[in-house]
Amino acid sequence: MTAFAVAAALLPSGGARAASPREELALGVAAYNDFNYDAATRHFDAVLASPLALQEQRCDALMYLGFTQILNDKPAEADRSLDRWASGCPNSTPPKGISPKLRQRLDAAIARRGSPAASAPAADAAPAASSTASPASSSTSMEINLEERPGVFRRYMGTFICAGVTLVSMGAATGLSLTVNSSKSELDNAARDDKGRVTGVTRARALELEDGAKSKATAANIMWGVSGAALAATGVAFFLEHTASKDSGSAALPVRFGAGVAPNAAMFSLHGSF
Amino acid sequence: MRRFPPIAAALFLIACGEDIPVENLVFRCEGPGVCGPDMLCHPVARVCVPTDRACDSVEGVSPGSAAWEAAKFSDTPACGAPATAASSLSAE
Repeated sequence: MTAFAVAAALLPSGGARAASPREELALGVAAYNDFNYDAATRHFDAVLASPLALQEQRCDALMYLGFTQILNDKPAEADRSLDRWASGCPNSTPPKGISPKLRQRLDAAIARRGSPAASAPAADAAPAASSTASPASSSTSMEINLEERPGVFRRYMGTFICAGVTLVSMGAATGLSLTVNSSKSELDNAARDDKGRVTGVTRARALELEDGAKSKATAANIMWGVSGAALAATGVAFFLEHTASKDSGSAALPVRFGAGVAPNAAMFSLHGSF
Repeated sequence: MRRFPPIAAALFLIACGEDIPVENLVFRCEGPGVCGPDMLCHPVARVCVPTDRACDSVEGVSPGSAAWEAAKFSDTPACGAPATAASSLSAE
């Protein structure tokens, strides 16, 4: 279940009742965490438009709206929102664990505090804050575009790679195992006479089957080991990359992989940080 | 021997490292070259036997006898005089 779905489930069902600012803020944060930036923008705008919203809720909505706009490739609107946050919310503190790039944008907005472009207080912030662009901030568009949030495959590249390795190695292991079993079955099912002597296959053929089965069984065991390690790595990679991508627009891959095969061993390594 | 479904048997084989018990089986043979590198087809018993037992007498048929000479294969060794008197091999 996604973070958005969890939040939606926890919130009281109100039927046609309009969501409170608190609920709108929670839904917006959940949508933001779920990378649904359009929905997040709508919820944060609703908070800012609500006459019932508390100052603290407006400040949080403005800050998250700015984050959302940064990650949604709307740098000018993000600057405007963060400027409003910086000028109108001096006591508001950003959440811990935000990415360095978001932190940098916040610090830049704080540095601009008091300038004409950042003079609109948060309490007066209009829902249209996300729909207009400031000429003063257009010069940063190119810089922000370089921070464009990478696609799903790039954000979860490690997960995809590990999952692919898992599937391939499991397929190879299964195929080899079935081949081994086929060899064993050929011998097990070979015809025998009334004294138990094998008549269905020759001993030379049985030795061939045995030799082939042994080498394939060894290969199958290696493949099972690789697939098990790759499956575990898939879970770890997904955890690392999902955690990293939730609060960062960075294209940097948080997971590094290494693989090696030796005559009697196979190794798969995974490095990451969280 | 217990039977398993194919995949279960394969996994059991892999998990336990079970070998195919070729060495524990007795193989019938009808001619030369079918017993592998370390065995020969006994001309009278018609089973694969270790090379050093290829000249064993079988139920009264000894190397050098007419029946032996008629049955021996191209790779049956020259046995010379009748060899082991007591043989555990049984005729076909």
